Amino acid sequence: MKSPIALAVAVISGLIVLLGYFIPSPMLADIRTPMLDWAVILSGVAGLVAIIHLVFGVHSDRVKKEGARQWFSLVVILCFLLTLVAGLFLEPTSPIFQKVVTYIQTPIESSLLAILAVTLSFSSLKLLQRQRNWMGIVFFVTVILFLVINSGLLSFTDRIPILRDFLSGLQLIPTAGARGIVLGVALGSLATGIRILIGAERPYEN
Amino acid sequence: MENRLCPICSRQNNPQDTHCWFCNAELPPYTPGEDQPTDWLEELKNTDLNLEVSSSPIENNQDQNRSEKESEEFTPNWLQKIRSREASDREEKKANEERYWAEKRSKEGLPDWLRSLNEDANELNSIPEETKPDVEPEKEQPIESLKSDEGGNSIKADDWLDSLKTWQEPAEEKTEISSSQTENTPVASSPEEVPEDSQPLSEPGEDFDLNKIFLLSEEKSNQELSSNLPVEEEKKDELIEDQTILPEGFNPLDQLFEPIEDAAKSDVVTTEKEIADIESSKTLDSSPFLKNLDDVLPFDEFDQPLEQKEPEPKVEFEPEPNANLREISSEPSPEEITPLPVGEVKPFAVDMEKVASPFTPEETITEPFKLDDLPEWLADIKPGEKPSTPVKPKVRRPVVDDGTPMPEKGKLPVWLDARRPVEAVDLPIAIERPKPGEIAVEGEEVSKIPSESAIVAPAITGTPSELGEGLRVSNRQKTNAALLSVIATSVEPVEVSAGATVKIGNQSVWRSLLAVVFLLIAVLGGTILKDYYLQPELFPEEVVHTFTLVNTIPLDKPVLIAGDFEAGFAGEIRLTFQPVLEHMMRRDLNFALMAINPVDSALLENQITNGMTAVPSFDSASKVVDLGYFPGGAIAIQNMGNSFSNAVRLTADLVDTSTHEITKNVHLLSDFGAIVVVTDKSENARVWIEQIQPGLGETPLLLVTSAQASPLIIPYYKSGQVDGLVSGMPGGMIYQKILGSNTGGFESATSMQLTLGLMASLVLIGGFVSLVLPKTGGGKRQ
Amino acid sequence: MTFGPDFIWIIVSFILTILVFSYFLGDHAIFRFVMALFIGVSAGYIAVVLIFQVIVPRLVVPLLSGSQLALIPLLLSGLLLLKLSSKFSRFGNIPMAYLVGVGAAVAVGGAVMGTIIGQVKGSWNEFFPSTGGSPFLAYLEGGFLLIGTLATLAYFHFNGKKGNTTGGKRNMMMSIFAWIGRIFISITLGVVFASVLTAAATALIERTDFVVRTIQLFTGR
Repeated sequence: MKSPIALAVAVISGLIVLLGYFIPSPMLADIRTPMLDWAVILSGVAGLVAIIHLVFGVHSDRVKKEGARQWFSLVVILCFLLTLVAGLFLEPTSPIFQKVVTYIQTPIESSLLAILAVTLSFSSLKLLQRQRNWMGIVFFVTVILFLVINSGLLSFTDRIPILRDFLSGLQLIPTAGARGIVLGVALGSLATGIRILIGAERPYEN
Repeated sequence: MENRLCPICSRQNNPQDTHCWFCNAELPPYTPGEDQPTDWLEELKNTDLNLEVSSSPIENNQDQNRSEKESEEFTPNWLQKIRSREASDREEKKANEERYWAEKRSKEGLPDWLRSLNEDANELNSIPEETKPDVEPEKEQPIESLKSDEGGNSIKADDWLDSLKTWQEPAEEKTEISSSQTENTPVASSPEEVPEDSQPLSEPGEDFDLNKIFLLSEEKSNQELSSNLPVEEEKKDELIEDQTILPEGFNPLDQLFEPIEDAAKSDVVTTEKEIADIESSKTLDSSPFLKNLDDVLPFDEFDQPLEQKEPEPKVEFEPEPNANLREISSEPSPEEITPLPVGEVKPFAVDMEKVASPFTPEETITEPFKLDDLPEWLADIKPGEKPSTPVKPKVRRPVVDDGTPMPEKGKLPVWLDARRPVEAVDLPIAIERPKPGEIAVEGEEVSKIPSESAIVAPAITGTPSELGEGLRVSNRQKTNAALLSVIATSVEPVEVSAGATVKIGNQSVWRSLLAVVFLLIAVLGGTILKDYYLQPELFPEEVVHTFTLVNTIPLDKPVLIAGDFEAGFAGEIRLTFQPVLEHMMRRDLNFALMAINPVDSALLENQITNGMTAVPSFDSASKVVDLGYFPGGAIAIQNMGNSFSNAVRLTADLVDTSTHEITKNVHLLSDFGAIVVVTDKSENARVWIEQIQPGLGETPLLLVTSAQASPLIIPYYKSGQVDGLVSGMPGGMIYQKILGSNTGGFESATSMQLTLGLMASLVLIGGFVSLVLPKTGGGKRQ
Repeated sequence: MTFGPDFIWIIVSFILTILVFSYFLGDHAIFRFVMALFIGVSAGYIAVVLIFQVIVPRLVVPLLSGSQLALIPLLLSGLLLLKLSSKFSRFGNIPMAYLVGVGAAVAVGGAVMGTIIGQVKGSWNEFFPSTGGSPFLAYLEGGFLLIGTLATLAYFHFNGKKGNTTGGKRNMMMSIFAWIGRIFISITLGVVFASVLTAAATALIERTDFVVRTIQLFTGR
């Protein structure tokens, strides 16, 4: 549903904030600062809306439906409520409450990342199975080389000037490529941002 | 017999065809001198026209003789059939009259030659027969010679034309119009079929009204019709079922009425008057044809039908009862018809402007012909009757590219296009024949190629009307239907075979074994092989630079430590950041903790708590302030970069930052001694660099990142936007070594080196095996 | 590691780590239970942090202190909450539009001022390093970096002339540059992949080390 009000809000607010980058005007800064503050507040409220929707929208609907997911969604809701109640009582700065992060969230997420290490290694066995061309071989050789470099197994080359210089020079290639990628990303962000500011894209509309 | 050449698409047709097989345009009458088939004419001449004309009300002995004579010379098959039907279909004419008018109004108009016949007939009615010149036989020209020339109205008198005039029904029988005969019969064909050196048509009779003529069969070419048109007597519509169909966009009037202006103007009075009378007296129901034509067709004359239409019930075009039509048909009076000079043909009332701009909705249609003026033979033709032409099968024809120029495709009105019957749509479009393995237009699988398990998507070919008789389906609907059928048929069947299950199980086993190996190596590296690691000898420039900068941070300025990483990377960050934090703690710097990720406040606090085990003298209660969580990502960072004091007014404990001991002197980010950003992703680091680095001034920006972020952050370090960079556990180990600390990643150095070495070996072995083994296609695992 | 008040938390952490590692044997109900637990706890923690560290200090406190300017974010926040309702969700488009507009402007400004200008300046400075060294090497290094950067950018340039065949073709110079850029990108992405493996390996090592230490704690070593 197109809304001219939403479009006007997006364009005007965006233009004011954007102008502040290029025009160091105190008056503009006085307008820009509270606008950024409001955006920060809205970001927080948006996060809250997302959590409420997740728990009381998605998972509560799954609880009502019969199936295997029903019980897992019940666990989600129960854990959420328990954590919420505990946090409202203890406050987030409480060291006890912070143990929720350090002893529950962190181990689970770190373990998931550890699983990723094994899975990625298993997948990299088939690196050349599909991409059997020159670029695939270049990628393959690069991965092996930089895994060894990162591990420190080639630290003995630091004593050999030629090898040391060669490896130092080898670092220039990913630097150049990364610079190109970063510039490309910036140009893409620029284009997308301008499209939003001129109203060509309206991701905020339903 | 020679083939007949179509004037539109220039393709050969059978001699007996009256309409082009390819473009459905009406074929010109056979003329031996112009590559027209002559056999049928000869046959007609030799045919004994002993039709049942005695029962026809328009016949008398003299006319019959003349007609027979004419038929011997030139009588088409359709005429014979018409005459034979007259006697049997007399009763039906009255009942179907209204329906004919209703449908006629919604369909095409009369051809100009027919209209001119009407006018001629009206004129000749006032002329005594004796004064009518005898058309010399040698002047009799075939149909083609009747084509309109540049003037369009110089149609030569012909014997057959005279006989046509005498063959007209008596005036009192003109009211008997069979609407059933006129149903769905188009008007005569294109004006191009009117001979170029056209002969003057005989005038229509007094009551002859070609308004009733709505649709003519394709058989009845213009010249044939005009030659046998009892104009002054007939007022019955003669609907010929095989309708004259023009290709899309073809405007026969252009050919006919190029220089017709003079003649047209001279006839405006007569025809327009008639038309005005008719139009004023008719309502929508009573004269649907007029009204519809007014709305759609801008011509003053009846144009030829553009396409053949199937009879369809049209509620909106149902005419009034016959009485109205009878009244209307009886309206025109002979005195309103000005007699034409002999030998001249009164063309239709043509407005050249309208001709030049066809299909102008605002144009009105003139209707020069009256119901009463229809010849009986014309009115006797039922709309449902079809000539004995072979029914064209509903097959798609392949494109026969013989180098002939293709007719220009025009555009029809929506309502007209929706009413096109399937049979009429036979345009020479490049149509793909569905292959045996492909699906037909309707989406039904014709046959399956054994080698193909998937159903090939159907090819939507042909015109929209072909997809359903009488079904009004828009192109978009058909496209969507085709897409749905493609989606439905392109779904590959999920074949979960036993072999695939076993294969998946094998992969799970291998992955588990690999996990065990990794865990074993990590355990061995952290326990037994703990001290067997290769020490790095050269330190990366960015790590050394970070160390140097931390050493130069002013003691009176706090250090902003911003956490922007996920809890999953907490372990790596801990190993990477711990030496740097320990270094700053050893220098007894003040810290302001900030979290861009909700969990980072707790993680940074935990990090400081862990660091205090290495630096017990550090008092976190007085040296550390938690500024809390800042949502918004780049917006929050820009907000801080804009004005730190305005952006961060309260600490996490709701204490005013302007009064807090650590942050009371901080108004901008540049007031900090250093800004240390701890992040796990290159995107987060890039946002920090973009938003705050331009305004930092001399304040160093240090990054402590995960190993995965370092390759894309190096360019920023190289360009000077980042003053220091410590990335990954190797970077932390090096920093630890420079610092000379015992805490950090060196305890896991062996595990790291062994694990990464194993990973490199796996990639190498897998690559060699892949190069040796044949290449496998990438496909989804089922 | 000693027994302390965190012992129970350590046990909890150990059990959770082992349960997540059981995914190596396949997906099962216990793993999904752990995931559900993680989602619920994370959502609850984030909700608490948002309430106490965003809404209260930035919205409630200014309103209570009499700031009229705080009415605007209050109104916008109320409209944003209407996003939860299917009937009135369209009213939430206005605060979303505000967020998107500001975010887009921040992204554009940062891309221009931070990355584009900064990186172009940095590419130029490569030819003139501040540290002492051979100018020839500096030019060589700077030139190599410049060519690599341009070639990488050229690879993502897909404009071309319309040819006789379907699709356009790049001109020869651009094709050559794109081919060179492809090499740079392949190497860069190879380095990134190796770094990702390194980070994941670090997490594996850290978790394994935790498990070992916990076992040692239980066994009293």
